[in-house]
Amino acid sequence: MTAIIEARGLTKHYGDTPVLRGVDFNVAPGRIVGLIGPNGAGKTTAIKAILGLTSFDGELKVLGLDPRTQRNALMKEVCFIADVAVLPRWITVKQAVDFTAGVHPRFDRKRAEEFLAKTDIKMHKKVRQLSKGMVTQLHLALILAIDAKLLVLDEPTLGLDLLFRRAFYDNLLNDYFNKERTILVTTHQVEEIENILTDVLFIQRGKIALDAQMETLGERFVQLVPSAGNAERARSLKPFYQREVFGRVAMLFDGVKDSELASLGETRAPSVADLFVALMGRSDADDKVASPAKEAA
Amino acid sequence: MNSMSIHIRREFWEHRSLWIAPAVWVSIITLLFAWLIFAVLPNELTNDVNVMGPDSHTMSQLDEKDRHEVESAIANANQETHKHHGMDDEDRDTFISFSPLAITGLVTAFMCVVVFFYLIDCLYAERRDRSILFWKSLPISDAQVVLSKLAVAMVVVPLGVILVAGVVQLLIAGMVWLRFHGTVLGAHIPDWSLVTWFKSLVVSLVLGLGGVLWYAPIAGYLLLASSWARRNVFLWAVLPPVALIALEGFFFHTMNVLRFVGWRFTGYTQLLHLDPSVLSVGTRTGKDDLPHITDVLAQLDMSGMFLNLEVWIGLAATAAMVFAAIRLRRYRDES
Repeated sequence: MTAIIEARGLTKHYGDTPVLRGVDFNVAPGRIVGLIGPNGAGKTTAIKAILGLTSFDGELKVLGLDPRTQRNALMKEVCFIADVAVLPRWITVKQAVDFTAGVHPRFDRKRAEEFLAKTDIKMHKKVRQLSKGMVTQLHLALILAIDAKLLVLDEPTLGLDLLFRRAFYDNLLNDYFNKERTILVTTHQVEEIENILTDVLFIQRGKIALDAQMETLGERFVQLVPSAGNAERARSLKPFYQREVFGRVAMLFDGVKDSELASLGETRAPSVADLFVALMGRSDADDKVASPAKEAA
Repeated sequence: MNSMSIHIRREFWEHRSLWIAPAVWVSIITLLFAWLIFAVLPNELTNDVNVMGPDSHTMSQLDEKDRHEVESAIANANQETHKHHGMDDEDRDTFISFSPLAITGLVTAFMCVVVFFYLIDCLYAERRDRSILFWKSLPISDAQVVLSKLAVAMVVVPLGVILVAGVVQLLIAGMVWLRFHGTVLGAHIPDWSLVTWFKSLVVSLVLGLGGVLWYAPIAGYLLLASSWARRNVFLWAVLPPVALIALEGFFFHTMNVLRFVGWRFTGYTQLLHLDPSVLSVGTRTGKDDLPHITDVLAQLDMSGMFLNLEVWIGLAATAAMVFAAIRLRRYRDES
């Protein structure tokens, strides 16, 4: 199946500082991919490259198009929410709907109005009169009504309270996502979206640190809390991360079978947040942690 | 769909000064005229002509000597009235020959200021509030956005000015008719004429088109400044030419840049082969169907615009600056 996004050797420098260092990844259709990394890792730059908002070196195809030279055609198929602050504060809700309907060939006005009718947002209100949560709802209403193949979300729920964050992702799943649509999302709140993701891409210091499907994570990574006396045996199996909690050591293994570890203590599949902390906490981000999972993507 | 009209509507939603400011300005102009016409002009000038003397039937019944005496008395009375209120013949003629073009001129001058601030703000504001990322999330090309802003400044606003000025002219003509119809002064005021009004619109259109062609490079420069500036957009728009003028004066003791800029601001009526005096207010007298308009129409020569190399160089410079503004909007990283 043709990839929605194909990046090969994606590179970007700001002055002398490398932000993306030869990044390779694919995003297949019908997936919800979390692009996750610490501040300054290169997430937003990668997204801006995908959206044709910044120059870059290397190869990048989005829906088969080059974002540098075919951006206008690309944006008919791609939506994005950069963050909640970008809706112009002077615009009224009705004007935002009118304008989007006027310029977007795939915008379903009725759908946007139906979504808005379920909220407390009034059509005559200006964005500056809406709460931050309402602005996000408005933006989401506009996006959900667009029949786009790729939706890119860059920290879409930044600054929102838990209720709005949960409602945002619920709406996204129920009203937008289907097998023909792909979502690429960046967020700091990994734990809130890990249940909706189908794939994760960890990025650190401009390189992909992990590229894996969610269903393969449990097979590939195992967390072990060794029972008394088994810690040294467990260490001999080369965990890539360990930390001490309440006097007990938790170890993370990559590519070691659960059955091999089960006799040494308690095992479980690590959460994405556990993996994030483990992988991002390491100094050698260039390790080939990503490589065994490539075939899974 | 992706039509220019929705982009232009968007500009008027965002930049409300484009319609609120002129609405206030033409209201002020109209009210000032209403005040002048209804409150300031002395009542004697607006008395009914019949009050000033007998009607023609009565006059015809008088013998010749008496009729001369009555006519002489009326003439003296009129003269005294004018003297008393300090409105001599010249003032009166100035008033009655007030050209509809002057109203267009008042609105145009005001809108030049409004459009200046619109142009320096239109590409800067979207970066200031980061809404550029919202606009860029929609399938709109940078060329569409920049050209829609240019179209507002160079097409929509000039046409709006002519339309609004035309309506104000009608309003003022209506007020003049209401106040002076059948009065002493009314006898000196030219009757309102659809043809004259239409001629004034044609003149406005031709002058407007010439203005747009001639001033296009200034609009292009302001768009570029708006697209370029990361802050202090007003300074970016104004300082470069001022700095060039100052540096040239300081180092070379010449004024070529000043002359060039000055010519760009003032030279365009000459290219129409138009004597500027015909545009001035109150230089004509009498009830001769506003001769300014006829003179202007007779003198207008658009070939002067189209055959002038400077106009074409200016338009090429405009295209280059607008293109640069489009490229800047397209490729500048808005991190």
